[in-house]
Amino acid sequence: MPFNSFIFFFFLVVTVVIYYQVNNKFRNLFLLIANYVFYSYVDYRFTLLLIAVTSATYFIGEAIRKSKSVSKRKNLLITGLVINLLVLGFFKYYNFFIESVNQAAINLSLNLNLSTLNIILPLGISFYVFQTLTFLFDIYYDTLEEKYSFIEYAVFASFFPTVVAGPIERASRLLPQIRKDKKFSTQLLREGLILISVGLVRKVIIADSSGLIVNHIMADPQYFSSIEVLVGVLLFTVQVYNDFAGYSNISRGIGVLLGFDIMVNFRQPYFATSVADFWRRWHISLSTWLRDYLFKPLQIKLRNLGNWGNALAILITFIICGIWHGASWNFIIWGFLHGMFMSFAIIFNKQKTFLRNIIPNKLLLNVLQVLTTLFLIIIANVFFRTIDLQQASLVFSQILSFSDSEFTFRFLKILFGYTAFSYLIDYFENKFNSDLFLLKIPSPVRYGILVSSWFIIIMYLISSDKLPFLYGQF
Amino acid sequence: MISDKLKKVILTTLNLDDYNITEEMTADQVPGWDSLSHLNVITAVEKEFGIRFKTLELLKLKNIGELQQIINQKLGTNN
Amino acid sequence: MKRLKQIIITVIFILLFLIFYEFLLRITEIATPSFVYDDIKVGRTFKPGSDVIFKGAEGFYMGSVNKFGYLGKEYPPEKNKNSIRIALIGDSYIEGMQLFERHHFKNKLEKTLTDSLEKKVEILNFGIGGIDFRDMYFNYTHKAKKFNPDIVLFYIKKSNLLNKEKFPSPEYYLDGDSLKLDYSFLGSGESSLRQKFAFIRDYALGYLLKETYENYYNGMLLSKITNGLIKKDRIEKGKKELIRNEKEREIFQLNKKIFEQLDSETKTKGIKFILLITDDFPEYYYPVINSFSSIEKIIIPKDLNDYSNKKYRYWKASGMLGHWNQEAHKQVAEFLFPYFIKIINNLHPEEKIFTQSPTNILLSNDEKN
Repeated sequence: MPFNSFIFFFFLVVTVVIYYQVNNKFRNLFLLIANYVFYSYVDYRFTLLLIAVTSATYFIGEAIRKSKSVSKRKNLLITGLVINLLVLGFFKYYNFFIESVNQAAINLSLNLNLSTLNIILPLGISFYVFQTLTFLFDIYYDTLEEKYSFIEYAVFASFFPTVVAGPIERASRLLPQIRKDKKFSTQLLREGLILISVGLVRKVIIADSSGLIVNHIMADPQYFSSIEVLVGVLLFTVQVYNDFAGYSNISRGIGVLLGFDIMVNFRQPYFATSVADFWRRWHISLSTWLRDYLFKPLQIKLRNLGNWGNALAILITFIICGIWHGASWNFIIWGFLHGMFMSFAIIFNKQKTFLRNIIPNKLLLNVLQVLTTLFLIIIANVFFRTIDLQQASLVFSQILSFSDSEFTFRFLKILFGYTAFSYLIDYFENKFNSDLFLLKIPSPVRYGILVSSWFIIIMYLISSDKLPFLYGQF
Repeated sequence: MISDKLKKVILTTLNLDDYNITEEMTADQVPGWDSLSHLNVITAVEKEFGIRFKTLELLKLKNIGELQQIINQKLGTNN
Repeated sequence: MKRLKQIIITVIFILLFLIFYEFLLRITEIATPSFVYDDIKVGRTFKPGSDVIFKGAEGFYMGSVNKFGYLGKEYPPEKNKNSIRIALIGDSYIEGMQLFERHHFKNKLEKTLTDSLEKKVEILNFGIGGIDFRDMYFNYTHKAKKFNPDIVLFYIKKSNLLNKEKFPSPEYYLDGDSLKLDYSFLGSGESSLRQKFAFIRDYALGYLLKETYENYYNGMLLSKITNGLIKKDRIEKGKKELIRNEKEREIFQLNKKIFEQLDSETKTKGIKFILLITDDFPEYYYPVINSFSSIEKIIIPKDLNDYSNKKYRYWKASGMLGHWNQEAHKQVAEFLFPYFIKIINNLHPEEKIFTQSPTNILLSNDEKN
């Protein structure tokens, strides 16, 4: 059930209430049941897959833990990786693979015409497979040394706040929390509700509403003029951030209500002064996953190539990041672009430093860095948002057509409104260095913000058609 | 105990004049030691000490103290 | 005492932030002051000078209501003798709030007709979503007529033939053999409630409140809250069918009377009426419509009426089939063009207006039939 729905609200209230009535001993069992109720409601067909994948991973993980042989541990890790990635690969990429092979054959004047299957993507598979894999990695790298029971692990693997769209938690972070006793306090309630509120403001007020306009423009860019398409792309940049960050806020908030500390997934990404900095602020759970389990081993293996080794490792990592997002050339290009931007920065580091030193004013430098970074991100975003290369090039050609619009002022005004509001929330998050910044302001102001925001959120949810979470499709 | 030699390699690679490096310290607590300069430090250590690390050894390192330990192991000394 | 002070300060901050949201909603156009209002005399009507934004699953519309109270390019009520003025009347298909004005069929038609005839052709759009045929006639008598059109086109689909009560407005009814207007809605509690709170629609926040209320009024609230799990229909389905059949004959008499009025108005005032209709009307309608010599009847091509036609009804953003899309509007303009050429030429047979040759061929084919 989507987080921005009344039925989920009902589920959450019931779950939290019973959760704290139940004895500590049975709490994890209850949470496990709640996890599966949640997942089955959204998609009962793939509950069996979730059980199968996570069970297999548990047993392999335990086998690694018990084994002392370096080579055996390595082989077990590889086995676990292969099983998980094969399952992910099959459901997500089989059709893309077949279609690409067919297309390549056509380009070679062959007519293979292999048939695609009618595969439906299991909900959250990209997220829960990656989350489950951290169990294997953390055991393998000795980051997770204690033994955890199957129930504890199963709660981790199906954890409802994160299973659909992250944050991708680590076994070494979440399992110890699952084991701990939980005690209800009004502080938990207060913090949880604040996080959920901030998340809903981002998701409903900013992302859902702007998404209505973005969707129409991106679906048919040919019917919109230059500035309208440009605003569409810029508005998408605001939308996708608030959609995903809002969801992560809500996840964190639900976690807090249940006594968990789920990791922060976003840290004002549009304040970034470089693309590398951007990835330390955007989808942090995924970028750190890729850094720790893919980039670092790659980097080490390529270390004799010096800076070129670093650049190559980044490029490969981000192409895979693109692939993780989806089975289409657009995502691969998006990932490749980000990888290229960062590789360039590594290779041309000296030139970059030189340019930096030219600019006298520190504030001016900051602004230029932020604007340049945003510019690069926005270009890559065109590929992220469009479904194929044809649509992407249509977007670019429409923007560069410099055609007139009778709505220039209105479009710019709308963009300004959304951007300013988004940056306003980010400003306070940054200033207080926390997404719980509302706790740090006087309570009358806090209640003013919360009550008025909930009023808008509820009215909006009732009076409009809802959009699904953008990242729920991954 | 972090040897002076190791400390010198780290400071030189990161372009730091002086910084107190202890055993429990992790890489991100040292200014300028990020995932990119990390490899520079590692390759510099390998060159200075004439050793070669295995990938798994590097990935398992939790702090600078453990780095010192592995160096000691490889050199066969007990500094 | 301190507690009371806290509460008052909190309430002040709630109000302050509601004002903040009012500005935010307006700037981002998430919600805007309503561009419609319920006028006592003419019912639901557009508010002159207001900006319009309409975001739906199919498409989105941006524009403004001109100072004369309709959408699109502004033409004053007084008409220039040398120009030809066409009024379009219909429901949401004519209103066309799924796409921008620049793609509406009237824009293309206006241009091609003006170019071909070398006479200024003005097309005014009086379409309003959700109305039925008797509302359309009301729109003619109380709105379009004031703009002195030479030609009035009604787009009538089968569903428009039945009476729909979407919002409180004056309704025509048959009293004996004459058409009368029913203003009884004014006395209802519903209507006075709406009048009393009409002012809130001038605020963006008010718009949200109004939409929530409309959901309640249409029985949709429960469905929205439970994600569609529980749907409460205002009238049971079986009962609906019964009422429908009983009323059909009754409404037919009313509609028939309206056709008679239009026919006589052509004879007395010289205004040309066009009924652009679908081919699926109940059979007893056709002989009636055909019997009026002065009313032009055009049957819309099947593929423009076909609800499953992917080419003309597909909206990419939502993957849904719905109202006419940009392709359909282009097609409608092309389809209507020769008919309008013929009709405009027959308006003033003394001054035969010559057009480019391809249309002449079309004209002669039509006359053969």
